[in-house]
Amino acid sequence: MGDNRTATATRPARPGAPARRSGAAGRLGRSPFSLVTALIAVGVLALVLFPLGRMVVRAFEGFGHQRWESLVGAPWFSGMLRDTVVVVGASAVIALLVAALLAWINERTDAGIGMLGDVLPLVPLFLPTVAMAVGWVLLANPDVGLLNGALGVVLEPLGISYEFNIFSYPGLILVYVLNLVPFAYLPIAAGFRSMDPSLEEAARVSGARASRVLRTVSLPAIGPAVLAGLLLVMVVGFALYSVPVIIGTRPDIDILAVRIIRSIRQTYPPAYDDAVLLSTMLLALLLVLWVAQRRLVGSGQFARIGSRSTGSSRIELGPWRWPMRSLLWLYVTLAAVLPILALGIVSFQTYWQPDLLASEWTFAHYERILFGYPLGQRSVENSLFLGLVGGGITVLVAALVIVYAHRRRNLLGKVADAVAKLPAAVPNTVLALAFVLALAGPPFQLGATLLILALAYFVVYIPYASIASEASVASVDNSMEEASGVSGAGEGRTFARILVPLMAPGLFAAWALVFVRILGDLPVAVLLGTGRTPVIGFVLLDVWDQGIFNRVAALALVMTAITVPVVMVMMWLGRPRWRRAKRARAYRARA
Amino acid sequence: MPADGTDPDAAAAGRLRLEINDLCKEFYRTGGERVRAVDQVSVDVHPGEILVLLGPSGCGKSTLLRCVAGLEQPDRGRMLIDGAVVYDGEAGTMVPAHRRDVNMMFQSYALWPHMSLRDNVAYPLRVQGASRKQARAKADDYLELVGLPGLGRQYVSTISGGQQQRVALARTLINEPSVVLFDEPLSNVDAKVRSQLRRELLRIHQELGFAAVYVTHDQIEAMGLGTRIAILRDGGVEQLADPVTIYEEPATRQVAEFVGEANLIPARVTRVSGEVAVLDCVFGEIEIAAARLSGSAADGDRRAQPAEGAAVVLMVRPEHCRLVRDPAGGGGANSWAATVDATMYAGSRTEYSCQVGTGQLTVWELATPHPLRAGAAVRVEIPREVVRVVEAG
Repeated sequence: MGDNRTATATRPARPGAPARRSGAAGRLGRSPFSLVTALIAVGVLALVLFPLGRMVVRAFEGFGHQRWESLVGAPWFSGMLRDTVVVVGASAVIALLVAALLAWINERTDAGIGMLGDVLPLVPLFLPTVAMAVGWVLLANPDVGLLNGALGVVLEPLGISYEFNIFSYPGLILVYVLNLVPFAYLPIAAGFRSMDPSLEEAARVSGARASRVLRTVSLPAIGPAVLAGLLLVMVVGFALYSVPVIIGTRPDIDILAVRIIRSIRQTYPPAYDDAVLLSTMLLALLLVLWVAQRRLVGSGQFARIGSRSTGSSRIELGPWRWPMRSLLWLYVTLAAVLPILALGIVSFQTYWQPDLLASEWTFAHYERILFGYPLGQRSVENSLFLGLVGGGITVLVAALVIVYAHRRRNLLGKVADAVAKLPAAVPNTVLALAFVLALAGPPFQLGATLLILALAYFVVYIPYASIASEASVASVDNSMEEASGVSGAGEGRTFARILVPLMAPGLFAAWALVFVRILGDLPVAVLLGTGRTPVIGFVLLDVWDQGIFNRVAALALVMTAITVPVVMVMMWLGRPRWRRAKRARAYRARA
Repeated sequence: MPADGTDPDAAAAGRLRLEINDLCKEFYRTGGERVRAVDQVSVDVHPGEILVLLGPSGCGKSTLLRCVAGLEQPDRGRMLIDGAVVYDGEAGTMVPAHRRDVNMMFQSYALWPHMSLRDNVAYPLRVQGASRKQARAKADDYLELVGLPGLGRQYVSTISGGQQQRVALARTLINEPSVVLFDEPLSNVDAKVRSQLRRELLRIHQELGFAAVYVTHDQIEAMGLGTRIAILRDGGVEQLADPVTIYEEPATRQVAEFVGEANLIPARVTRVSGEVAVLDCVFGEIEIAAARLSGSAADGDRRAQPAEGAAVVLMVRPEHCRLVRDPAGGGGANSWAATVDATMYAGSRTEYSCQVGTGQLTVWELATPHPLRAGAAVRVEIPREVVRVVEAG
């Protein structure tokens, strides 16, 4: 029938048609919105790759061979490598076991406590890392540690003498583990959650006992998730700076991330060469782990919130139910409650001492930190500004880039997607160093400005925002966008009116997370912050170096006290009011 | 609203709402295998017409619809909506979805959970630049039209699936698009609600007179709603005709098999004498109208009449066959002794599977109070005029 139709087909568009019907013919994807998005993606690309590229080039330029040899031959090098591998390796394995246990309790047994249980293992993510580290120093310092004080009251009458000592391998590893558990918990819990409970039921009705079910069905099913968790924890562990700088320095446990910053900050003249070479080494190691992780995880590992298995299919623990459930609370107590309590107590004590009855109490440390210290107030203002505004922009840009990549599966989309997640493998120590080298001096002259801090935070935290955005985009059905398109809305309008509101829960959570991390950041603050542009982390390390623990406690608690209400407000703003309906429709669509 | 849809312009009233010429769309499966989801399809939609795309899953009907909407980019061909080119493979023209004068109702309804029902419905008008007040007023009118007056302030989470469908329909119709696209919109609700919504849809269509393309795999829906039906198979159009022609005069055996129940009988032409042709099949001799051999009347392409001895495939609908309870009675042409193999009582009819000679024949008897048991000896008769030729050598 086609032939006689071509005559009519060449007719021009109806002249009197309204604007949207006139068919302004163009190729797919030339709207101003996608142009702007593409430009932003290119900008992100440049911001991530340029400083790192400069640094790597610097590591291999000139007679690099010799420099590498002198680095590896340095007397401290092999010890540093051993310490780092031991601490990070041990912490990663222990954190993985703890996380797997907590995830199993929450997802597969009747000891889970619903939404609260989902949140508890993630609490440390929303507290500044450095506050936890300082808190533990106050708790388990030999002699004056608050826990040791309490322990003494119990043990001394029994004639036993025992003390916790945070300044030791076990102490350092403990705080590492507390920090790393959430990172392993996320993929493992998702693995348990996305596992079809009928797999276990099938094994059970086939006659297998609970232990056999666990061994032959449950564990193999979440194997990939466990492996992904291990690699993620290694990446985060190698990059961790706040914990070893606070705890590892005194017992001389030499950690790579600390060594990088020390070779600039506490060496005269700054040994940029050492820092660059060490960073390049760390970068190469983490890139290998990161690639392995992306290979193994693939897609679809992140289960959606709400798709939890029903109570009936859960394993009944019987008498073990309450002990298992209390493990959840124990973790939160160790990772959040005790350290914050210690910060609170010590920040109000005139002098730090474990005996609370004999203590004198004062507000002086807060007054001194916030009003007596010239940088205190400004640092809080700067950090708040960077966290709220910078963090917000970071999340919005990440959402744009991820939506673009999700929609357009073209080359730029793929590259932007990868680049927006790449910095996850780059420790903020290394990124901060790269920013100093590339942007602080000529021709950019960004040293000692808030802009360089903002740009560094943007690059450091865009992976967090990207991964959160990706999960949010994936949970929004394609037809939501398409319905907007066929209703006549362009891409910009669809993004603003449909996608952003629907992604809001995930985006606000990402914003809260980025805010907390910026506020509690140390490495970027130390390398890029200055007396003219102080941020809280910069001041905190300064006060720490002066050795006045009460003031450190006060500042760390101020940091924490700011984050809690901000996180709660953001979670409230992003609360999903329509979740019930969304889930119902997802079920229907599946049926 | 005028019956011809949205355009008061008399000259435009008769213009085709949608023209699709030789449209092709290919996919690559993982592994590199190339699949033609849409294979040189040419159809058009007249004003006020509902064109149903009917076919089994995987036949390319949804892909074709998404190409019309602008959600998929075809590889070749040409498409015009209301006379304006929206896709031209040779000229490289691809008008994006939001600039096409269409709207679409999705299988999942795709209602936005963060907006009230009224704002959902008003959205297409707001996009066109209408004021909030105007858009909401018109949205309320449309919610009333689809039978949901006063629910404008509710949210998606608080209404039932059937109500969601009506809201989605209102949103699809409110900006009076040249072509309304439906992607299996009734497949997600139970049978009762479905037939009710089907009647509602017909009523609203009569009231507004929009032109539509309607994708479904449900033949009852297709028959009930379609002005014309395009049967799709492997990405191509197998037959395009009104529902009665599709059912009564299927162009191919695939159409006959897909739409309704069909007895397919391979046969060989023995002789043609005047108006009657005599053929040989598993039942014995069968007589048919000789004109049938050269293709059905409605089908444009008449075949050359098969020569004597040529192999053909005959088709008879089971409700057109007659079952005579007295095995000795009847007689004459197209009447054979048979045995009931299996009986299935279905309320309004009884379905018999009969052994006739060495062949099988399915016979439906309508409104039978006393169905026969398996094993009963009967006669079956096929009136000469109900036999169709669906495949000719």
